[in-house]
Amino acid sequence: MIVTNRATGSLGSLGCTSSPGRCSRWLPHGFCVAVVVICAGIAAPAAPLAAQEAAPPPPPVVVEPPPPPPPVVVEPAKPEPPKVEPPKVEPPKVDPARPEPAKPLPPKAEPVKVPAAGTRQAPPPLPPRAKTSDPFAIDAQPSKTPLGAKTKSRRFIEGELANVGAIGLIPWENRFGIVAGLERIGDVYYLALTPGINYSTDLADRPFSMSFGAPMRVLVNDTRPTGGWAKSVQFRTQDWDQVSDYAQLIRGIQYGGKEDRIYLDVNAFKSSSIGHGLILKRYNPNLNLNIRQVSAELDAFGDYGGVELYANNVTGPNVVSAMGFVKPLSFINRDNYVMRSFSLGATIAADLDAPLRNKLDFLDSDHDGRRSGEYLVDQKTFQPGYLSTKVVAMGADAEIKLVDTRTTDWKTYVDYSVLAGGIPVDPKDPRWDSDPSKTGIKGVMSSGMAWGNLVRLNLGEDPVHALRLRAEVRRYDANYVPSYFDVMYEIQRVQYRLGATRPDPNGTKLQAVLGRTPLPGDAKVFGGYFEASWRVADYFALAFAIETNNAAMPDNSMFIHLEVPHFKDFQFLATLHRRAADSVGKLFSSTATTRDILIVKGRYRVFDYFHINVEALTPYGIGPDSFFANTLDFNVNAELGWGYGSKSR
Amino acid sequence: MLVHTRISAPAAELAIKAFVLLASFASPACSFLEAAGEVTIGADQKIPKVSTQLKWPSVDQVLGDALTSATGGAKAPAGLPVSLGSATLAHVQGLMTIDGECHRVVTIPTVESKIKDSVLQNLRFELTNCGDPSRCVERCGGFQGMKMEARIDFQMLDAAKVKKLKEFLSDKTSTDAILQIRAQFFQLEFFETVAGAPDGKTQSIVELFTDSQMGLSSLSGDDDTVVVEQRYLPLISPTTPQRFELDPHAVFTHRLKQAVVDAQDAVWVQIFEKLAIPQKNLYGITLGGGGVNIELQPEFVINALEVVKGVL
Repeated sequence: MIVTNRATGSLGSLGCTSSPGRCSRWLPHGFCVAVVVICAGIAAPAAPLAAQEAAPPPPPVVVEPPPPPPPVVVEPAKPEPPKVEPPKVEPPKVDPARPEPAKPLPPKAEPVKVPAAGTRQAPPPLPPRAKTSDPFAIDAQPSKTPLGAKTKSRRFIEGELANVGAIGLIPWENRFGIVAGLERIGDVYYLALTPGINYSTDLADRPFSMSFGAPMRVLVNDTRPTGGWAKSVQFRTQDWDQVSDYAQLIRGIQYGGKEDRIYLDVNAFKSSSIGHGLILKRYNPNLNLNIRQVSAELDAFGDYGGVELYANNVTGPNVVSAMGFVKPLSFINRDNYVMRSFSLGATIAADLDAPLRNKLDFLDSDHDGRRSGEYLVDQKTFQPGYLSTKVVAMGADAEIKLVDTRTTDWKTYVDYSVLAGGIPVDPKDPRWDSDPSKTGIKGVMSSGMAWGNLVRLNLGEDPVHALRLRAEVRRYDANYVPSYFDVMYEIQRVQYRLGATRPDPNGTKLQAVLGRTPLPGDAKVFGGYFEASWRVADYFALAFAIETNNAAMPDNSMFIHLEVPHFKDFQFLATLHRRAADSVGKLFSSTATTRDILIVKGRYRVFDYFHINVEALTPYGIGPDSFFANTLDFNVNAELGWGYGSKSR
Repeated sequence: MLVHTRISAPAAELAIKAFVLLASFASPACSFLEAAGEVTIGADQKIPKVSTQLKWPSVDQVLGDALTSATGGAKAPAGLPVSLGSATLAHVQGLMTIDGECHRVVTIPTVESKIKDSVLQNLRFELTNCGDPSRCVERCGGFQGMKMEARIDFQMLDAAKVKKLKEFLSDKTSTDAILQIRAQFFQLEFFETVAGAPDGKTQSIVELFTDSQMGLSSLSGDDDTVVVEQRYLPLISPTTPQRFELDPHAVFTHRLKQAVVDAQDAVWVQIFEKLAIPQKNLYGITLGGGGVNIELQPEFVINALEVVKGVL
């Protein structure tokens, strides 16, 4: 029932009544929906609303007209003395890979521009963005610095400009509510109900946000031969039968930003990078949608060095990484940005449970008759079974900043890293099917290096256009791959050649990379990487990257990303990754491949209490054929919830 | 009583919002639909089990002309019998060696079997003598002992089963609609009659093989597809039935899918059994008293959406 009786002055008010002629629910656009039924069905909002109606009317708000502005006195034009530009003081900029401590800045004296006589007085420029802990916040209040004594306190925007590879959205407001939708885990479909709450605030002048959810799944259809349509309501008890399961309550906890002295990021959907990314770049532990892992990253640094720590699962990590760096020349001179920025670092990353050889489903654990034709998959966790070993990557790097101005930041770096692991001496040995003793492993080590340049630009004032360009030249062994722990690692560690129609017990990433045959004459592979991203406040972010090589290695990859962090009632992100293509040409083919990752997430506020989450994903779940496959899933979830607190809308 | 005073452009926006609201509840995941559309046609749909017993031919049937001359007289050296009865494979190997044979094929049109609801015919029995590693190298591949292969034409689907299947599949159905063809084995037992035991008591001889394969092919026999390998034989029992699919990439599987879709009457395939018996176990197996019991439930997994597409 829709009443199109437009009212004024009541927008956003809430109420639950069916009184004729009276609007029961005003939409922000000035329309009213009679929500008699909805209010009867949703008890939670009804109570406070009713209380609101019963409360005595608030005193009328008297809005005083603003005091008249002081008269503008236009001085007659005088001969201007020669302008003396004050010395340009650069704001501190911090490199995410090598963050530099922010230093207090002297206020920048701005020349007072006097309009010429007879010219129209231009409106005063917007006051500079207040120093805010979130440089992208579009609703940050302007500083109250008096006009003419402006302080350029905006921080240089750097770090990742877009959430490339993220598979989730956090509401832009403080809300609690519940999301309902369908989920597939392995061969089983569930009705998923996730009550959640999120909260954002500033803590010690830094953004602090938390988001929690408690996913509960109710069986709908078990498509395995022994399953069927649910005859009764059955909760998926495996979701909550271990202590470690309770980590999934965390959707995200974030304090500070990547460039802050302390940065903590615990989340269940974002990707992470360490250092320059030659070892671990945009690794997302949750690309395998059959499991949920809460990863953690902690960055801390001081004036002369720092660390970055990463674990892909707070309850039992298998992919871990650490980077430490020192800035030795800071001991000599911290005022010179070149000396201040020079750093030497060391990185280590490891998969402590790296699949070495996959097990096949000889005993038909899922009762579908496929045995040697599919991978063994645990029928409770829907995780593949494999014999494991460890793979370790270690590296050293050096970087220095070449340009550091108010709008431009350019640094160059060199990275060298080695990749070490063990591969079977005789991969066709049938004992590998079942014998976990791993006798017959030979150690393999490969190496690669990269020279890279990172340019960051902050253009414009309000909004700031932040651009980020990275270009790398690489040289590496045939059995090395840059960014071994990449966006697809969680899938390819088990099944490197995605899209193959027959299971390959030896098709793990470890064997597929470290087991490669050297090029003739032990020649090196030359490769290149280019990445560009552009962000304008919370309006949008764009990113693109491509990497390729001169050998016939299936290591050509690209991604393109579009994101609307938050615009009006709308949140959106879309990422298309194309990984492990045989050639550059295939990266741009219009035909979808089995190594594509498509992530489209949208969130739209229909009503204050009702949001729609739309997603189109190529999730790498293990399906009925027990392969990782990226079949396109389109889901629409309903989210009922209510905002609260000062940051709610 | 609601008063409609004006319909303005934003009403369309509200209508869109309402539609989105409804769609959010009415739009399930595509894959969910796909999965829900998968239907297994098997026992629940009254597709009957296949239950049969195939007996190996007797030694005389296999080695008859090795023991007798064209005129009917004894071919074997004096002192050897002209009929071996239920001689073991070791004896058979000895005779073949004497006769200078490494390979023998016998075709028996009429097969002795306990037919319940299937038809077997045209048994093609093949013995390979791998006793001397220097002979039959191509066939033996270094194996020492005897290799045995039986092929028999088998009516996989009779007219009744075809009719039942046609309740789910139309003539226009694409073979893509058949996602999987598999069989649930309740019994696949290689047996040997216990010598001297009353009532023809049998015992399993699975442990006497080092390698065995049971599979299917077209009647032409040029597209063998292994279904059950040796390692699975101990797992199969009436209380622990085991499923095995036909290799979805195999040529035979594609042909069978087409045959099922096109079928109007019966569908015939060929079953093969390949056994490798090591030298030391040859005394444990007799030809005349042995065979194999097979009991299986055919299952067809079809995609109902594809079937519907074919009809439309």
